[in-house]
Amino acid sequence: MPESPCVIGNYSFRTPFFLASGTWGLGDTLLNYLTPEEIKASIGALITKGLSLEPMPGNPPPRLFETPCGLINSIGLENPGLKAFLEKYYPELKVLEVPIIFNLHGKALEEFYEMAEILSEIGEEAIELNISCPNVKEGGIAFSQNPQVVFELVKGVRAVFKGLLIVKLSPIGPVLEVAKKAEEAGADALTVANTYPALGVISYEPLQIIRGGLSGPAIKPLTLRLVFELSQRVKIPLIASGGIMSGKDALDYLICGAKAFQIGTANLIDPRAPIKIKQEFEELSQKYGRLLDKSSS
Amino acid sequence: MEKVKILKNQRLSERIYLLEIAAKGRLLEVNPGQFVKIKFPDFRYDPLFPRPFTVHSFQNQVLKILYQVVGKGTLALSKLSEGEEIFVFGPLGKPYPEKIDFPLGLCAGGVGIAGFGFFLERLPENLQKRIFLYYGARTSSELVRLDYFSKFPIELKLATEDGSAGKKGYITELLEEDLKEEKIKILLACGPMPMLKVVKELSEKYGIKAYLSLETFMACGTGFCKGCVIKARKGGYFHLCEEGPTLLASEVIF
Repeated sequence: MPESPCVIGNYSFRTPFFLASGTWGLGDTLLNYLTPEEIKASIGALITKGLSLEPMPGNPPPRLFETPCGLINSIGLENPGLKAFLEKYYPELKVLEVPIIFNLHGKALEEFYEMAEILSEIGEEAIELNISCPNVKEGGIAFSQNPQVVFELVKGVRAVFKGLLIVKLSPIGPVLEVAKKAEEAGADALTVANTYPALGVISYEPLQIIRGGLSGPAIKPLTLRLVFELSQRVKIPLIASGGIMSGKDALDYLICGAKAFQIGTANLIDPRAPIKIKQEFEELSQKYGRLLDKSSS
Repeated sequence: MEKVKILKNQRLSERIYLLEIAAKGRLLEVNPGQFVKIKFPDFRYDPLFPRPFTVHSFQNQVLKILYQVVGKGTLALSKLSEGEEIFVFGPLGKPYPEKIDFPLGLCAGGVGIAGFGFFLERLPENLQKRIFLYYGARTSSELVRLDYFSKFPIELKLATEDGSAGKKGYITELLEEDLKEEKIKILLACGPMPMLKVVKELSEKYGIKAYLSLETFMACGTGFCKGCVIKARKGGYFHLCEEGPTLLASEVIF
């Protein structure tokens, strides 16, 4: 049964619903919409906005474009940098007593290692690596496109960081090989997956296009398939992330092999979505408990 | 998000509608210049995002939204009728600046007029008398809510691009005439980007402060997605849903 606590690696979470990176800002406005009690009761972990070694201003507008049942975003990894985040935003989140998972991205392997070391030194316990960002040293091709580079990245981070290590897969490229390599290199879990590279034509006059990542219910069937395929090939737990809008979406992912769920785009529609989704999921799980026991065997 | 009943959803011109809802919960805390997000009660996920709207009027717990059909969100909204339920979320964004000088010029293009109604409603009468409202549209049928605005003791100046009402031309031309005569001390403008651009230029030319209510596509409205940005003169970006939607013209680049 999917009853909490949800166990991933050596860590247990009160609920299997995590807030996806970049979909709850830096956390400074979260309490405007949810009480600390609600956060504690419904959210298993908070995955920070993608953090880099140095601050990044993000992309010029347009950064968003709505598509049928989806959203293309091109935020450009805007963030204040790991150190500023730790000083300014983290203290207020820590008091919520909900596990914090640091989502990290870098321009080179060394940047990831350095951030992992910083977090290790201050006793942080969980990291999620964003491998969909460009590896500037290797000509700007995303880390996720080269399984060997991912192996090196995860191994390097593992060497300096003993806590929970999650790799957030890109849904495109050699996904299965990358997943295998991440597992081999010591990752504790995989997030399946990031947004899908997409393009939207915003206007003709002036001609405006956006290239970014597609999220939302539009991608759910694609990511669901990925979760299913990966669950047959890797042993480490999978955390589903792709268009989860309802309890049924989460249950679909559970049946296809996921252990936990990230809520992303749904937070942007309604900051109280996690409460609703968790509740629906629990009701459905009770109804289909028997089926779930079967699927996990 | 509050589930509220539609009291009225009235068509005022070809593309402009006036929505009335019974406000409750947090919505009662709304201040002029803030906006709300409206979500439709279905499970189709298209349009996926609630749409942001400035509050046009708020009296006796009746909240009014003045909107123009521009895409699938507003089209969906225009099809709803009295008695149907929608989800309204807010208030969001920052209210209009508190410390404002008078005489004040309000410059509106099209449905950009919306927020100025609520602003005037909350203003004491002695200050209403020190308001110049410049209201322009393409044609006379798009100059809506004139009866409502005429009830305030303000100086109302109209312009249409085709000359069917008020002065023929852009509203910013009327505004410039008064700026030349130093009739106003400060400006608050809302409307299409090209109009805001001209207002920004005029404010620089005549050396007066101007606040602009800006618009971009918005996803969350809560500061979560960091998507609704406008370039800041000091470097980096303003996030319209958190720091706006009304910003000082001298602090933004567009």
